[in-house]
Amino acid sequence: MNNIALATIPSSDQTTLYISAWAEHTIEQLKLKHIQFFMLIKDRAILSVFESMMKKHSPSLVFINGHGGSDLVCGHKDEELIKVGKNESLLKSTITYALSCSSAKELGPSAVKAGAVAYIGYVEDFIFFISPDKRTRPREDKTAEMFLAPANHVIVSLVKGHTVLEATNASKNYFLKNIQKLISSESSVDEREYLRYLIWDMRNLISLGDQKATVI
Amino acid sequence: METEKEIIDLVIARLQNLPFDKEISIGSSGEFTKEELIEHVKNDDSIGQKMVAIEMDFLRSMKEGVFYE
Repeated sequence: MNNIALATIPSSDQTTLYISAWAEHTIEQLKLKHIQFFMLIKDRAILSVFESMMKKHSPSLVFINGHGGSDLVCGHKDEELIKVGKNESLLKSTITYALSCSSAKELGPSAVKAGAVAYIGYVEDFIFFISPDKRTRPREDKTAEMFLAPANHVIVSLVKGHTVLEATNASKNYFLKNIQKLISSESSVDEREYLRYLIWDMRNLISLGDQKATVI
Repeated sequence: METEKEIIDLVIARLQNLPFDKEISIGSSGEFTKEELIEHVKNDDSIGQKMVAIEMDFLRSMKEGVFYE
């Protein structure tokens, strides 16, 4: 492991704007002593740049943000980034976390088969709520935070040196903490309606490959 | 058939309880208000079916006691 991380931060619609704002925020908040983080922001989150950075730096951690499907993840403006049967070997020797819909269904297993150390992602759509009045300031959106803070916790945990399994469980525990907050008296009746969606995200997060692997 | 209708009615009833001032982001399908989601459920399209799947998963998770893990 070489202590280099690479993140894709596309931003071409409301959903990618939100997940990218929170990913960037998470990375900025990390006290990065042991790992160098490269971020491919907006129109740099495309295949040609991603490929070139992967070859140049051989990151041990890859953090994908963007739309996806069971067999692919996308970059800026939904440009295909990694697809089953095409270039999943790009993830060879990496621990990859994809905050992207459904990619742990087919791309995850295929990447691990092609040499990825581990792949953490979602087997179904990643769903979250937003407050439309915070559209231009996603980091201030407390509703979105309920979903995006636990989702980004995978990266926080991996960078702290926890194993793939520990990082996945730490994220699930964060979701669970938010779920328990909602069923307590602290939350409003309205907020309790988010429960089923937090549970959905928590249950669909999985890790594949070497569960004992660490980034640092 | 009756059960299917009951499930649809349940999902619509739950969606009606969503806050009026929030939107839900469902990956590349986009963002939806609760009224739009209810229409999708009534139309039984892929977004509507996703809402049904989420409700069914929620009911299963309650049975499994996921809140108290």
